[in-house]
Amino acid sequence: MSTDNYSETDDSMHSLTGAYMAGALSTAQFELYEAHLETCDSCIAEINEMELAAEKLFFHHAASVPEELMAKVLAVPDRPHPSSAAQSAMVLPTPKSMGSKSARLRLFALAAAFIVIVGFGLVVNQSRTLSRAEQVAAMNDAESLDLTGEDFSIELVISESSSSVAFIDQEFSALESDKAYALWRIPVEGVPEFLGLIRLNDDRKTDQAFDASVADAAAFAVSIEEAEASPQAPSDQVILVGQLS
Amino acid sequence: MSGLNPMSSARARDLLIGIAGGDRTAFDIFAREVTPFVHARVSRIIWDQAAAEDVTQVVMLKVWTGANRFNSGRGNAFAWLTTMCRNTAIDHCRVEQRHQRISDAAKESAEVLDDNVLDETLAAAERREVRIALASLNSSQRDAIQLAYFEGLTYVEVAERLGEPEGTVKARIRRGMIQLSRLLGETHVN
Repeated sequence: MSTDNYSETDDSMHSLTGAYMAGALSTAQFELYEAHLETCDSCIAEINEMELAAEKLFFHHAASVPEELMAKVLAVPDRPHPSSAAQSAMVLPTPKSMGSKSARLRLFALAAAFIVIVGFGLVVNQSRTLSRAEQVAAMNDAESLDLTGEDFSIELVISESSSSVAFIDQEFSALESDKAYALWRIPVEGVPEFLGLIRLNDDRKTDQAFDASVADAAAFAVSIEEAEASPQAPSDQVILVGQLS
Repeated sequence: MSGLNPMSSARARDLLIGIAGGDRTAFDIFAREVTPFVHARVSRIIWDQAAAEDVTQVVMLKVWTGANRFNSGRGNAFAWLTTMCRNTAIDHCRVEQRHQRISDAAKESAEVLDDNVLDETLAAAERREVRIALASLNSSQRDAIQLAYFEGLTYVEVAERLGEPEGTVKARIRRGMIQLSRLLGETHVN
């Protein structure tokens, strides 16, 4: 299977017009295709040919929307628009314990704090909309740990108070289809603990949280394992390691 | 508004331009019209109703905060919105490990268009019009479009599901969408 052939040639980009209009592109493909549209009048012409089908298909099915849901949707503009949000964020305090490890984590925590402050909770009702990984990153004691290896590095967010660790929008290197990345906790004493396989999307990115005791951990590591495996011990392909100070 | 359609692509594009500029009224109009359809698309992928409602809110929040990322000069508003619905729902499923997508959907035919969870807010004639147009496509084009559009599969996933080369599936969707537009246009004129 190839998910990257859309970037090869203009011809392959032209052939994506139907999938674009049918909403059948991944986010990365969609963005590449829209960039392609900037310079391709023939694709624009083809899109116009398909416009009626896209409209009719979109409006073919409607689901009944509970009043409460519609009220929350209509209240979305109560949250500042990005332009005003950017200005407001400048004056918000950063969560404590962030240190200087990760600018991206600080930005996320800042954004999360901002969302809470401006009342996003009123819209999303409880904590279901913020994914668990996002909730971990928004913890006051969340810190970033760099897991580094020869080929690439990623950030792991760790929160001792929630006994959780998480990846937020981290991109991994390509892997054979029958392999998977696995996350391990290396305790101060004892054997490595398998925390789980890392699920990647089409763009090889993940937002995923894991239960993990941080207090007695010496390090976290990522290994390459067989897909669908539940290994008892890391394979000899431990490719990323981050030691806690 | 264009006759049978609640909102045309051009109208949607204009509203998104307004939303990108922070126009609350534009968002209000857009949200009232599209939210039931966004919710329907999300519910196709997430069967947990509470989760589907949450994701619908997230999609509409993305409309408010991300309309400036829509290529208003060249892109299609419904392609943008449909893709956002799909990818937001899929991301949710991946994170929550609740990938409750329809498992055996291709049971294609017009039957896949029936869904007792969904309200029919469009006139029956309009729905019938789309059904007839879809039924007029050859089966390979119809299968590819239905899997992509009504099940929320990417064309790559459609190819895997059908056991066909990706290029073949891309071509089927492309030709099918063009043909569908022509058929619907003829119906509209008639």
